[in-house]
Amino acid sequence: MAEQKLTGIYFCDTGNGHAKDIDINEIKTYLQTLREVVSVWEPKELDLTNFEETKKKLENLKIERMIIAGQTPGVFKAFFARALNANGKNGEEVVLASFKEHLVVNTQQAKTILTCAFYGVSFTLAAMPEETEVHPDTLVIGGGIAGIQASLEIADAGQKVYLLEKTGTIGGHMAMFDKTFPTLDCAACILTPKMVEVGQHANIEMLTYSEVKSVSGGPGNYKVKVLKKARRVNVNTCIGCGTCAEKCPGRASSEFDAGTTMRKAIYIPFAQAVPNKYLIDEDACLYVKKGKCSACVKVCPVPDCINLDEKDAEIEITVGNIIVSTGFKPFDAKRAEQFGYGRFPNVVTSLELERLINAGGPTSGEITFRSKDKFGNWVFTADSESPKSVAIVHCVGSRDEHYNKYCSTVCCMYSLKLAHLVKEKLPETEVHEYYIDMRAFGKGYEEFYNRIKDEGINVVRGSTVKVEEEDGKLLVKSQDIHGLKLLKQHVDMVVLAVGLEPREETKDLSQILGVSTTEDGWFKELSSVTDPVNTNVGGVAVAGVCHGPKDIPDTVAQASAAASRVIQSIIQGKIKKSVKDMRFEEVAAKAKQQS
Amino acid sequence: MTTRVDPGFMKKVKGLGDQNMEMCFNCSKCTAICPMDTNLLPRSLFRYALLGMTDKIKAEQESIYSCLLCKLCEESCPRGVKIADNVRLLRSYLNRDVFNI
Repeated sequence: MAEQKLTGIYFCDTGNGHAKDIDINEIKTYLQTLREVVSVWEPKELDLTNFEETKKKLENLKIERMIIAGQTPGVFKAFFARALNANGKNGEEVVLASFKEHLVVNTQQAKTILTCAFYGVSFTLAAMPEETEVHPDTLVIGGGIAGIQASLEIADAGQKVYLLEKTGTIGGHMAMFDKTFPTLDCAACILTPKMVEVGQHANIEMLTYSEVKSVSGGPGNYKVKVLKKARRVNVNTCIGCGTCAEKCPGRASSEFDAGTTMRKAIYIPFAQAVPNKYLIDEDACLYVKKGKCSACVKVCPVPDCINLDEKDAEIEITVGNIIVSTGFKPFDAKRAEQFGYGRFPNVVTSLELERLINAGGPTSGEITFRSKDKFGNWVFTADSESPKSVAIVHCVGSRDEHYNKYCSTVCCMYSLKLAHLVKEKLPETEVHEYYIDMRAFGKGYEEFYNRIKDEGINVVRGSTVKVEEEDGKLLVKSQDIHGLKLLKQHVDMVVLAVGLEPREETKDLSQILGVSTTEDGWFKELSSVTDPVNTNVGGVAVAGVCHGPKDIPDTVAQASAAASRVIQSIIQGKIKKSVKDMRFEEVAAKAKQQS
Repeated sequence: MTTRVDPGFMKKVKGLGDQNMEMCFNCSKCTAICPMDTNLLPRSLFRYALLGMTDKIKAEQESIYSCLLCKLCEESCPRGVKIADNVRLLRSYLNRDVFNI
């Protein structure tokens, strides 16, 4: 340990003062226990307007070094350097302990920062969490594009991955999309080969139709209890023939088709699902609900494949790292009543339009009006008429104090993409877009925006306030800001560009894992600039939209980054403990040791 | 025609009471829902005020007084701008500095 010099400490109160949870008196008492600290001053005890007096005080106490603590200590650095110089000491011995820089909000943190400053040790070095051994297996929670990408990266590096997915198939939201912006590549053509790879990879064990129940243990050695919900169909023996679904009388709205069509109670989520096996929706199955009907069991060609009485099971796995990639849910357009979603059948959400445009969707790629089927459900069918005019309304549920204040980042671009796709399918149809600000932020996005404007799409700056029904058409009310014109546009179909929201389960999962979330409910990274994948819990990384709205390229990039962190820890065989578990005494002892 | 701006205008208005015109991010939902069907109320009016275009504000007195203070715009404002209060403040500016009441 290096020799310490006689030290004076000054608390400045500039820069909005101290946080209310910082107890200056407690810190003072603590600092005075350090042998070389000769005096601790608060602003009221030291008159900085009187240089001579301060200089004399420092001289009398033989102070050789000054520590300035507070929100903006740098302001006083020159003053104390001058005073030390005038006393014949080294003017460079002024140390800053900035509360603002280290985001100090309570007494413990303030004490830590001051201790590090006292021992002349960088806080980041002293506060480095300890390392512990790591189990080589990894759990990825969420089987969307982020989870798939992260799993493949880790599995290709030769390590075992459990990929947990809540629904019956991996794929997530990306599987529902028709095209990706700005290149207009087919989303399924990119995603499905990756899904198949996951299904066949020797190092990946898929846990579909499962949920995380509890997590115990610590970084490097997590014991995870997984609830395997009853699928009621044997994944190993089901041949995916579909005879059961033909005979099944139970019906429910199709999740994969965003509610644009109906599916049976025994179903395969979509044609390219992985695993491509049937499962039973217990909310729609007549046997589960009423105890009657077992039509599927009777027609199934494989013996003992369907077991209607199967119960939920629980398994426990041990993993060293966890990647959270649980994704998002689209904003519920019914909450924005002014746009009439749910009241007017031809007000649709962007996800519904996406399914209509998709060749594998309910209308085989025809954009048509919503109609009632023989059971009275609102669905889309190919034999309905097509709209002659379409309006796309941006920022539904985003950038609005009534719903979500944040920008969902992807809506501008996917709206432009949808406008292009509508124009491609129905060249005679007018397309109007109403936006607040056009956020074409990524590589090639601005070029894409310019291309769309050249395609004859009417892109209007000015938000839509209301959608009404008039003479059998929909009336969209807005103002053209650039042309200073009030617009009342009659259209056949209105598309609401809904934003992204955290899933309800995010809250539970954040409690199970101990990962903090932001005010909006997204998972919080350790540092948005320097560490955007790790969290405050050691061995838990985030990837994809569950960390905040982002587009597919960014999601894939973050998933790869998260995977690289996991691979790094497995190769080293060590993992850092959680930052949040660090205690003041630990850091102080380390700082003393390192000085 | 050149437009004159008065950089001290907002200072004068702020002296008359609380306002939050700066919160506006120009989405024009307010103008689209306004029952007066003017292109001016209330978004453009606030732009003029924030820029200090006093001549424009004086020229648009009629519109400023035609506002019904019905708060339809406030209800649909995504930024929580207190539109009716802000219009009232512009009125009191006109009363004091233009009509000398």
